[in-house]
Amino acid sequence: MARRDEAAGEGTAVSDTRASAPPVAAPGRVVLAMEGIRKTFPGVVALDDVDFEVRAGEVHALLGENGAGKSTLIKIVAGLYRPDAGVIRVDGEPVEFRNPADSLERRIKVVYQELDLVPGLSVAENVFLGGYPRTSHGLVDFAAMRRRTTELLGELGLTIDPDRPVGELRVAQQQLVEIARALSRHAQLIVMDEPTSALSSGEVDILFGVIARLQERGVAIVYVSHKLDEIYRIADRVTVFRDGKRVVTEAAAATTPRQLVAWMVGRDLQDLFPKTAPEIGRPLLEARGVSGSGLHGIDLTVRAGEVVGIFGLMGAGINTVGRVLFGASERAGGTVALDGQAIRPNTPRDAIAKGLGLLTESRKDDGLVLPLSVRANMTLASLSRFANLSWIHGREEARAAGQWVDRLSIKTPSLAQPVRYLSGGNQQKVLMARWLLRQHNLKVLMLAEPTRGIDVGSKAEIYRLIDEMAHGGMGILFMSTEIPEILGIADRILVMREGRITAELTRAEATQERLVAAAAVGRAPASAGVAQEAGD
Amino acid sequence: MERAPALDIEPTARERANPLAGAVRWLFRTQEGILLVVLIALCLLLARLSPVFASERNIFVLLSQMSMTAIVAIGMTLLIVAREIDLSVGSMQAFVGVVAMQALNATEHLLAGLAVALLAGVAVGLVNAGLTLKLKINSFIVTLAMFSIVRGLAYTFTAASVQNHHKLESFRAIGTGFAFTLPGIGRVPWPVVIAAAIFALFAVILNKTTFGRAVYAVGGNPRAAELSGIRVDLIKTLCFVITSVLAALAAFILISRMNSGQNNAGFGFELQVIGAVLLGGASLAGGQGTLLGTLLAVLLLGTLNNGIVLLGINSSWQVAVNGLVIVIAVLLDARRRRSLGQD
Ligand SMILES: Nc1ncnc2c1ncn2[C@@H]1O[C@H](COP(=O)(O)OP(=O)(O)OP(=O)(O)O)[C@@H](O)[C@H]1O
Ligand SMILES: [Mg+2]
Repeated sequence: MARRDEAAGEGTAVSDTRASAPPVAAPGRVVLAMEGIRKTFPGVVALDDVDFEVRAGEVHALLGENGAGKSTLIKIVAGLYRPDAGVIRVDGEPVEFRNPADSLERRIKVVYQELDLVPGLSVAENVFLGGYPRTSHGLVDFAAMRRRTTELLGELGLTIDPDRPVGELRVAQQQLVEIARALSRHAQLIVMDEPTSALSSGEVDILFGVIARLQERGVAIVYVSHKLDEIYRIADRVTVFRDGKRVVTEAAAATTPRQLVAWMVGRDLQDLFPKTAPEIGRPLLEARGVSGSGLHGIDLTVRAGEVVGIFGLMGAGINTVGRVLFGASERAGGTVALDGQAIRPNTPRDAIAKGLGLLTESRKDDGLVLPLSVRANMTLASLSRFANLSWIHGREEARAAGQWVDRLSIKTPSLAQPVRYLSGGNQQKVLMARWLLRQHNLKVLMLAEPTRGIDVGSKAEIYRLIDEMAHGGMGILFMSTEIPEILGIADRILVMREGRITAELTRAEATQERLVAAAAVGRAPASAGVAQEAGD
Repeated sequence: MERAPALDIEPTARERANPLAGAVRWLFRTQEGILLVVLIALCLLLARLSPVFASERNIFVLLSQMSMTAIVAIGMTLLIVAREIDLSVGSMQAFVGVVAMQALNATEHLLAGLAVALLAGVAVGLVNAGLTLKLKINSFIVTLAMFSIVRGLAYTFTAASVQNHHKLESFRAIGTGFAFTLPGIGRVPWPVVIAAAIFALFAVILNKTTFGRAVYAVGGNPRAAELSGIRVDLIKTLCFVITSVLAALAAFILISRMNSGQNNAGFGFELQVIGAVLLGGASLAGGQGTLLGTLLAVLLLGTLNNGIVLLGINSSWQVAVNGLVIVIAVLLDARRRRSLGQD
C-alpha cells in the first residue's frame, strides 16, 4: 500500500523519482515465485502444478503452443484470475492477488495485447492514470504531469508528445505508453503478452531497446511470444509450457530453436514451409486503379494456383488492400473483377457470392462473434452448405467443424464452447477454419496476417493448407508484415509503401534485404521514425 | 431443451458418465436452471401461503395473462439478441386494440379484424426498422419516440375505448375460451395454446435455422456477420417486424379478454416484457439469450405479481417489483460480462 501511494500520490513523491531509479530488487534476486499453481476452467485444466520464478533484471520468455496456458499464468500474476491451488510470492512474501490493483501494488505491471489505455485522454494523463500529481492546492498538476511524462519517455529513449490523445497513437506507441505508465508506478516486474504481434520490425527494435534499458535498471521482464528469433534476441531464460504443465526452464543461450520447438510441441517439427511447385493458370482476381481508404492506384492480379504476397511495414496499407477489394472498407475508385465478373464496391456479400473470401487482421473487431460457439463461428460463412431451405443439419455441421478442430489442433473442450474462452491463437485458428470451410466456393482467398498469434507447429499446418488450396486451383492473396513467411510461401511478392504498390518481386528475386529496402525507400530509418510518426 | 445450440453447455466427460451431475450443474449454473429452481420454490411457497393460488381458476387467469407477455417477450428476445430493442410494444397494445376493434365492428369478421391488427404490427415494425437502420439512429431512441407516437395515435383514434358492437362468438373465445381439455389436468385456455405454439415455432427457428443463427451472429458482432455474407439489415428488420407483429397479436388477445379496445391499455407493458427478457439471460450487448430463459422469466414474474395480489400486498408494489427485476437482471448481466475477463 505504502509504496503505491508514494508513487501515485502527492507531487513530492512523484518528483523525487527522477533519474535516480527507484529501489528495485538487487539483480538476480527472485522477484516473483509461483509454486504449484493450478487453474481449471470447466472442462479445461489450463495450468497444472506449475512452478515459475522471475529474477530481477532478467528477461524471462514464456513459450508454448496455443492454449498451453501462458496467458492464464499472466492473468494470475495480474490478479485477474485466482489460482485454484498454489502459492505466489513477491519478494519472498506470500501474497494473494484478489484484483489487478493488488498486483499493481506489488509493483507488477501487465501489458496486454489489447491495451487498457483510455483513448480519449492524453499520453500524460494515461501515464499517470489513477495517481495524478497534485499541486499544493490539491489540483491536478498538469505541468508536472507533462514534464514527468516527457522524462519517463525520455528514459525509455522515446519522444512522444505528452499532450496527444492516446487514441491517435499507433499500437506500438500505445504499448510504450503502457510501459511508461508502469515506470511511473516503479514497476519491478513488467509482463508482456505477445507485445510484438502487431508491431513492424522497426517498432520491435524500439521495444527491445526499451526492454534493454529496463533490464539495466533491474526491472524483471516476462515476455510471451511465438517468435523464436525474438526470444534469442532478448531472453535470458525461457520457460516452455505444454498442455498446462511447465516442461522446462533453461538459459536461452543453452537451447537451440529445434529443441525449443520440440519441447513445445512434444515432437520434432518438419518443414515449416512445405511449398510445392505452383501450377499457375488464368487470372482470377484483377484489380485496376483501386483507390480509397488510403490506397492509391492499386493494380494487381492473382492467378489460379498462385500465392501472391503483399508485404509492407505497419501502416503501409497492406491489410487495407484486402479490405477494399472485398468491400469491407470504402472503395472510392477503380475496378475489381473476379474471374471476369465485376465485384461491386463496398458490398462484402457480393464479393462472397462471387467467390472471394477475406480473413481480416483484426480478430476481435470484425472476425469473432465472441458469445457464439466455436462451431457457429467456424460455419458462419458457409452455413448454407449445411442447411436445406434454411434448416441446419446440426450433425453435418458439427462433423465438418470437428474435422477442422482436429486438423488445426484447436484446443477447446467442445465445439459448443463460446469462442471467447479460447486462447488467442486458437481463436485465430477458428477464423482460419471459417474460410477453409468455404473453400469449395472460393476462387480467391485473401488472408491478412493469418498466422498472427499462432504457434510454430500450427503455422506450418496453415502454410501447408494454403499450399494445398493453391494447388487445387484457388488464388491466394497473402498479406503479411512477416518477412520469413512471405518469402516462404509466396510465388510473387508485391511491396507496398504509403498506400501504393512500389515493387514487385518474383519468388526467385525476393530476399529479405530487397523486401526491406523496397518497403522503406524514402522513409526515415524505422528506428527513428516510429516514435514521431502520426498514426497513419 | 430449447437452448440455443450456440450457447449449449456441453457435458464434460464426467457428466456424460453421470447424467445426474450434469442436470444438477444445469439447474444451478445456468440462468435457465436457476430461474426454474426459483420458480418452483415460489410456486410451492405461494401454494402454502394462499389457498387460492393453486385453484384452477387462478391458474387459468394467471396463465392467460402471462401468455400475452410471453408472446411479446418471444419477439423481444429475438430483437435483444440481435442487439436492438423495441419500447413501443406497450403502446401497441392500445393502438392495435382500438384499430382492430374498429375493424371488427366494421367488417363483423374475425379474420378481417385479425388481419388489420397484424398489418398494423407489420407497419410499426417496418417504421421502427427503417428509422433505426436507414437513419442509423439507436433503436432505443427510435422506439422511445414510437412509444409516444403510437400511444398518441390511439388517443386520436378514440377518446377512451372502442366497444364490441359485432358480438362475434369466436372473438371472445380467443381471449377467454378453452382450446381443449387435458385429461387429469384440466381445460387449456386459448391464449396458452397460442403462446405455446409461438414459443415452439420460434424455438425451432432460433435454434435450427440459418435465420436464427444469423440473429445471434448479427447481435454478437454485426461487422463479423456482414463480412461473412449475412444481410445484417435484413435480419434486424425481420426481428423488428416479428416483435411488432407478436405485439399486435397480444393486443388482439387483450381486446378479446377485455371485450373492448382501450386507448390506455398496455401502460408499462414494455417494461414487463423487457424485464423478463433480460432476467431470462439475454444481454443488451447482443448475441446472447434463449427463449427458454425468457419463458421461465415470464412465468416467474407473472407468478410473483400474482403472489403480491393474493397475499393482499398493496398492488402498487407490482410496478416497483418490475423495476426491481430489471435492476437485478441488468446487474446479473453486468456481473456476467465482467467475469468474462479479457484476453
Ligand atoms: N476464461 C476461460 N474460460 C474457459 N477456458 C479458458 C479461459 N481462459 C483460458 N481458457 C482455456 O485455458 C487454456 C489456456 O489458455 P491460455 O489463454 O492461457 O493459452 P495461451 O498459452 O496464452 O495460448 P495462445 O498462445 O493461443 O495465446 C486454453 O485451452 C483455453 O481455452
Ligand atoms: Mg495467450
